[in-house]
Amino acid sequence: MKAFIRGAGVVGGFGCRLSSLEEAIRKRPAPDSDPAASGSSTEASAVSTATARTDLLDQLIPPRTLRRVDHYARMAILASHLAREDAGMGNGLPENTGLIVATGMGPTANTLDLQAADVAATDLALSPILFSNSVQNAAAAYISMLLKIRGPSLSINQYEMAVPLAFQTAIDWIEEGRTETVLVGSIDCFSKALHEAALNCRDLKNGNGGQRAAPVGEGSSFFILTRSGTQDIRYPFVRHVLMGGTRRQNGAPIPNTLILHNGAGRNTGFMGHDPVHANFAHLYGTFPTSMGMDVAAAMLLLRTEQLLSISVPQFEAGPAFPENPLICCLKKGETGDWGMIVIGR
Amino acid sequence: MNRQQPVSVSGMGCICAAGKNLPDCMEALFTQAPTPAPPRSLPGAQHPVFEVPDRFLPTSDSKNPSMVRAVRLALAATNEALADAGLTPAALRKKRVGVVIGTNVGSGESNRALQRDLTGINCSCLSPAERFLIVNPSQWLARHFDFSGPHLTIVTACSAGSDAIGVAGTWIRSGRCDVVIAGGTDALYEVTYYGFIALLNSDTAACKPFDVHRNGLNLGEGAAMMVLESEAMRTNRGKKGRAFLSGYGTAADAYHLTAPHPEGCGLRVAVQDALTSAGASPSDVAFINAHGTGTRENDRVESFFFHQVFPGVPFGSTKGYTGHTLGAAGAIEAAFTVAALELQKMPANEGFDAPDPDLPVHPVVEPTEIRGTTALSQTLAFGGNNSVLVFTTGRGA
Repeated sequence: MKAFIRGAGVVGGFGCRLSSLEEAIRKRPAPDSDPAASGSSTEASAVSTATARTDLLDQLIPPRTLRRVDHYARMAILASHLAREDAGMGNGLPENTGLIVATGMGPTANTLDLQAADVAATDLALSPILFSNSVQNAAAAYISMLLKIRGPSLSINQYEMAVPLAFQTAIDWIEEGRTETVLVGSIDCFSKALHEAALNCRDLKNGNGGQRAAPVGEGSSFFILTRSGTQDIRYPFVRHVLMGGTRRQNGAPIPNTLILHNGAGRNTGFMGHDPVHANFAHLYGTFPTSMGMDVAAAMLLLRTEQLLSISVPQFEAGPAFPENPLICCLKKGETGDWGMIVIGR
Repeated sequence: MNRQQPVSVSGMGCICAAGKNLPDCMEALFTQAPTPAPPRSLPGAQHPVFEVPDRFLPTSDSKNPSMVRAVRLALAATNEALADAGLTPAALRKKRVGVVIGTNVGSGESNRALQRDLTGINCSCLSPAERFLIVNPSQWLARHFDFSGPHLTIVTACSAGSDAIGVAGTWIRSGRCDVVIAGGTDALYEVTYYGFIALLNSDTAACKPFDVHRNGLNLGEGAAMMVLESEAMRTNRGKKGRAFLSGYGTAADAYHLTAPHPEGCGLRVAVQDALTSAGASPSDVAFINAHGTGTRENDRVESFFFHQVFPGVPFGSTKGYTGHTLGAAGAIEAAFTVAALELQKMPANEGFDAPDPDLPVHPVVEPTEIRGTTALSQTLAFGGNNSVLVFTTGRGA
């Protein structure tokens, strides 16, 4: 089943709203390299430019309402509100809208930073607010309360595979008739403590610290998905969600596609052909759920006139460029799993 | 909500303070409840908990330093569930086997290793991916058994175990998997232990669900797993299932971070969706496994809800035997619900002594014979998540 994207909201180091992401793509086209994979020389600057600001939220919601909300949840709340705004549903989402929040690291990173990585029980006992914000579904709870969403709700944590699993679940819900509309999104928060620990470990391992030493950047992206054919649609569809691994593959190779491969590397031999690649990690970083940003970028590339030719000219100039191009947002995990969200007009 | 095809439950496994496997747990539910005590793992802590004795866990697992306790519990329950289903990892080698696990603590246990790394003591030298994936129970189980299907960890707090089973049902019905291992797991953890004390939701004595003197929950730990199987595969191997997962509903309160909606707004929708998907009505329900934490608000909301929607239907909480096992609770109670349906008998609501005059209906006070083939297991979670499972026996299960 295809699912329509009715609207999207993004918050990242590039700014807030799809317009900020579009502007960033126009100014800094895809270099087809992965800054997070290249080592420590670029990491410090990448981190400093890729953390997200959420000041805009204070214009949308009275600050007093959010006084107990941490940075992690603020990013998610802001992105979800921007998705609603982008969908032209500012007066409210249907009450039975489903909500799925995916994360790779959860609010753990934020909690650790707030405590200077001290998880001593005596400190935690002092703060019911800190504890509440550390619970993995706190962001989903805040969103459902603020947007008055009372449909099915799910929070999932599956590191780099969280985003495709969230989209798959959203489509399942629509297909089952559980709901007609799903607000599906992702969020990860930069953790200085986690980052430092990762770099220390890499040093201890003499630079052999894994494919990607540490997550770079942070952000949140939310999308409003609806059943195909029921709405006036400005955006492309989610055509497929495919997942596989070392011993499994669901779905067939898709020819003539552009691959957005945030943190995935260029090894896409399992697809059965050699597609054109692009990578926008320089705009929003590479963190477990940054695939959500890729989906937003893919939407913009397919929707906005000339953006594709400006940012990834080699795709449109290719000999097999199709009338209706598809963009595959690909995430490959360190354990060999991969997930792909295919966007098309 | 559309009516859904029922999905076969071919096997179950459970480990918690009440027993090291599901038969032992059921025996405890009808004979003697364990007594909660201060946690051995947290020196100086006073609030009682339902801790799983170390002797319940396979000793071989303790030699694997990469296994956090939530994973050890999950593995024990999975091994039992697979054996109960008559399946071996080798037999599943060419099948599409998925794993969906609910947890609350499991995903947070990476904090401990991170703290050691930052202080330079016993550095684990884990990459961020390794750090998060070794505490992720679905990832761990999928790798351990070399299962080839998708795996997913759900973190909807106290309803995570129910949600995992509900999502697993979809994976079977959609044809994505032949078999799904679905359930929940959680271990005692200092963050949640002191967190519930900070929220003033932890009782200093044994919990008393629905009692007039109820004063909060006791935390517990444990895991339960169900083997959900496609009809084609089950029929092909001539296996008789234990029950059917016939309905699942989930809905948010959109009300408060730590308190349920006073009128059970989300619970009402979740129950309605679960019954609709099962093609059942309230009058079909033989009994209900209530969430029944022992907190003032949760039990009040559930009692009023049962009075309005399920008049005369017997209900009870099993938290007095297990404690509140958070992400595992929905799965443990789902397993108890199916086992009670098989026995046609539900356990007494342990800890209930004096009825609350402000509540309209009260739980069963002794083991109670039930009549019928359909039962509900419901969970009300932190953040206003409500999830409900419907199980049926018979019809060729």
